[in-house]
Amino acid sequence: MNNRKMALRFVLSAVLFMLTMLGLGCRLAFLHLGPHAEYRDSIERRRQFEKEITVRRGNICDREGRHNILALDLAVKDVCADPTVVAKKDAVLEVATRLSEHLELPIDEVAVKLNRPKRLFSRIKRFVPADLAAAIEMEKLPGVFFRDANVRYYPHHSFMCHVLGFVNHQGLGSAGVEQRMHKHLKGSPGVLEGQVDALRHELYLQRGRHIPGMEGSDVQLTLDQNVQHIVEKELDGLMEEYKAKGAWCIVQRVRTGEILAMASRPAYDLNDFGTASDDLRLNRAIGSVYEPGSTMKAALFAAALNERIITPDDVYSCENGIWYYKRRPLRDSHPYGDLTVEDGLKKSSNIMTAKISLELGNERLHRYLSAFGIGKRLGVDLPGEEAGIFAPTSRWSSISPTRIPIGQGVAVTALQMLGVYCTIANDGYLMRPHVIKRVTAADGTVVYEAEPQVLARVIRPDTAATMRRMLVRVTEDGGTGRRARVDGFSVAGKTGTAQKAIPGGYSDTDYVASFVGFLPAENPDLAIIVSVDEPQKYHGGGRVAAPAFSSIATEVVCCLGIQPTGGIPVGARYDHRL
Amino acid sequence: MVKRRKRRNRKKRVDGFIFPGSFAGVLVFASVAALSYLWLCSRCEELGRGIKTLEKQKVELTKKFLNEEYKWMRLKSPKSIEDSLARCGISMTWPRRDQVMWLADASVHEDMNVQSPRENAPRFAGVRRMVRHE
Repeated sequence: MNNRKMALRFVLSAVLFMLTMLGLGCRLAFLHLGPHAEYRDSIERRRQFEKEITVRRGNICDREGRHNILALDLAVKDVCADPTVVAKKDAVLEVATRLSEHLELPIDEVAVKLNRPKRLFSRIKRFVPADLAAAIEMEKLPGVFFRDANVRYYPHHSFMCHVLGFVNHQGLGSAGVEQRMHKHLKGSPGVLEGQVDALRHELYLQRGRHIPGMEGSDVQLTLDQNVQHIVEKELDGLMEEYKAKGAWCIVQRVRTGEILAMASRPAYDLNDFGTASDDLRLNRAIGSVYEPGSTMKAALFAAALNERIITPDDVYSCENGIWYYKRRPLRDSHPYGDLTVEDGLKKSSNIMTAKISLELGNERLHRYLSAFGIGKRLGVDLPGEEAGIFAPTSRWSSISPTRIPIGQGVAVTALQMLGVYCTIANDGYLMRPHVIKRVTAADGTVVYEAEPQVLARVIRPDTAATMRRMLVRVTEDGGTGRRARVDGFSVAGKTGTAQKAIPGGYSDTDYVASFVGFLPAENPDLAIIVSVDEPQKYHGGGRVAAPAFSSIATEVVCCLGIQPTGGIPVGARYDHRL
Repeated sequence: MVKRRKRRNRKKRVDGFIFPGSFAGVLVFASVAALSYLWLCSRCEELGRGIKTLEKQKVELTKKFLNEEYKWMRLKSPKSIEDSLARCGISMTWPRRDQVMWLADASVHEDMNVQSPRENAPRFAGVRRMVRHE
């Protein structure tokens, strides 16, 4: 072969190669730059993806922070099956048996879901814990597969349920702290844009916009897990012992308004909120109003003392148990003759209370009760707080001033009633109650920190001190609240036994029994209210609620390390005034 | 005079096509560049896959961590501890008043470098507000 031929062949091959490449290039250019925009867009669309990066919802913790998590997002699995595969392998019975054992479901229910040979998908159970899903996976059951899911989980089920609230299936906080702090807890989802290959795998190098999500903030409550447990245990005992319709309790720091425990019965499982009725979901401590009965008397006595209308040593006639005002009888539970003011409070005389109220006058009575927070929301950071019912004086009847101070014709929440006693304990200052202590972002920044907030100055410190001394006498021998004593502490408080209002009057059988008080009386730290709705067998506040108060307070002071002040030992005779 | 034509040396003549040296150089350079490009591409792809694997691992570990945290929270809840104690037949009660020794003196705490339980107590809000009112 000569050189010419060789050169010619090389040139021809090169030209042919170049022409081929040119042709392909032209076709490529034509496809990319030509008039087929719809094809290009279609291909682009198929390759492009944009997805929202879901973020973890923040945790809810008790006052100890991350040591005691009360609500968290949990990675779980949905157990699913492909019934066609199960049917092909003729393993419906075997798979149903194994799944029903693991998932604690009735075998017939599982078998019905599997025995649908024409279907490709059947969900056996949602939100199965990862460990259990792994155990099922180990068995390699034919046709069974799993799908990842996230669920809001409450490790302690019904514990603190009315405070925590729950997140609905759309991911919205729908009650309690979950609802109130939703904007902090939810975080902000991120965005990821990019391209995928033919197998729909993301091409990392083609990743476009990537905005990482911001995880939800952690919410730290003022509630103490141990105190809450003590309270809930006691309420469960009350419900069982007295076959009550409901019961509720709040423990609050008097100086700051921090709520250490808030419980309401009946309760419900937060992980199964869908089956709970509205009645179960009701936080009775803030969302249920009731006529408080004699616990209201402390507010009137404080008002009258503050206005210097009475002194503790003034003597009133208690009319031997029955007194007619505006031709309507008012009775005491026991007939009393002449009583001093402090004995009148100790014995819970309705007649003396009514007489003092008339001396105080409607306007001043209304002003003081309003200042104590009656008839308006105290602004606790929970949804569903009721304002109560407290009519203006223009709508009062002629006997209203004799009934309102004894807790009739006025409706309050337990939180409001506790607020009255906290005010007396706190030298006359009404604090805003709160359950949120701190909100911390995922990066550790403190977004919100609660500060004690004064709502009103209701009475003078010397009036508050006098009231504290008078209320201590209620738990002494002869007082209505002697069962509320706590060993080593002097307790100040008041019992309440309120007949429930029914159309046309008051029920003779249904009562709300309550006790509200604080300790140590000399230097108050904690205030506690315990109320029991429709207790059976016994209905008196001193008989039903006061022992529960004592029991709760006894454990809580140990739990919180509150030092004894040398009060009377329980059961011992106590015969001196503070 | 007849001019003698110079004859070429047949032995020195090379048979066949001579590949142009400059063209070969361009081809070699292009090949090296292309191979480098491919190597860098594959390296980037590999790193991308590595990052994605780590991202997945992080998500999985976070899930595992949350699951373990959940189990731990359940385990150490007051009710769970009470139930465990009850199963073991252990009855726990709070100490009586006479069984507790209180170290109330602040100087004792300082000397012993022990934090008083009251030091963690919330501030007395009334004091702040009283100043404002006075």
